[in-house]
Amino acid sequence: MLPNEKPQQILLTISSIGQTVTIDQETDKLYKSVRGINVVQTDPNAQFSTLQFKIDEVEIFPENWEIIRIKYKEAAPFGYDYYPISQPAGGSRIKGTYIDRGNGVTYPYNVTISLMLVDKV
Amino acid sequence: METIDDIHKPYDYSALRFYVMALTVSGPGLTKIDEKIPGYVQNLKGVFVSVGCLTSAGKITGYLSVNFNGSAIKVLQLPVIRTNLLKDCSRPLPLNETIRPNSLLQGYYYDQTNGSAGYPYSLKIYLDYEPIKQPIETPKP
Repeated sequence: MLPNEKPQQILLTISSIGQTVTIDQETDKLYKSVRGINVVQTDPNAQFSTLQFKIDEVEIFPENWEIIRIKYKEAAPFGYDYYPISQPAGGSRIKGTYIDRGNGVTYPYNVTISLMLVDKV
Repeated sequence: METIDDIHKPYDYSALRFYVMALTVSGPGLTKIDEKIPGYVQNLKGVFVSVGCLTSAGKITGYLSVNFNGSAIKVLQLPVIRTNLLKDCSRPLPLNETIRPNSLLQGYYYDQTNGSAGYPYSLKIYLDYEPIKQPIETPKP
C-alpha cells in the first residue's frame, strides 16, 4: 500500500560556473496534488543562483527567483518542512531553469528540488 | 485576533505572483535604478530586496530609495540587510500601491559595504503583485 504523502525529487548536477540546467519532467501519476517544495544544495554558497519553475504552465517562481527564498535551513533534516504550493499533480508537466550565478565554492555540486506529493489515487 | 502563527504562516507560493527585478551593483557609491515595471504589475502588495553578497563586513549592505509612480514625495526608503542573514524572515515588506501603466521604478541604491562584499554583486527587487482579474463573462439570457 502506498503512503498518502510522497516526496518527488529532482536532482540536478551543476558542474561549472554559470551553467544553465533545464528541467523538464512530470509529476508522479499516482498522486493528485503537489503541496510543497523545498531545495537543498550541497554547496551552501550557491544560494543566490536562480530557479524559474512552472507546474502545468502555472508560474510558481518567476525568472531571477533566488534559491535562498525557498531553500531549507542549514543543518535541518531533509524533508523536515516544505514551502507550501498547491498545484495538481497526476502527471503534470514540470518545467524550469536553474541558472548558477557563480557564487559556488566547489564544483560540481548537487541541487535537489523536492516536491511533496499528497492524495494518492 | 491575528496570532503570531497567522502572521508568520508560510506563504502559499501558488497563490502569489512576483516580478523580480535584477540589478548589478558594480562599485561603491550610488547605483542608479531606472527600470520599467511590466504592465501586468498593477497592484503592489509587497516588496523584498535581496543582495547577493556573502562576505560583507556589516549587516547592512546599503540603502535603497525608490519611487514607483514618478512621485518624488512618496518614496520607499529602506536599509538593505545582507540576505544570507535573514533566512527565515524573508517576507516581503507589506505595501499597497497601485501602479500606473508604463510606470518606472526609479531611485538609487547606496552601497555601504566599502568593497568588503566584492564587486560586482547582485541586487534583486522582488515585487509581490496582485494579478489582473479577468472579467467574468455572465451568460446571456
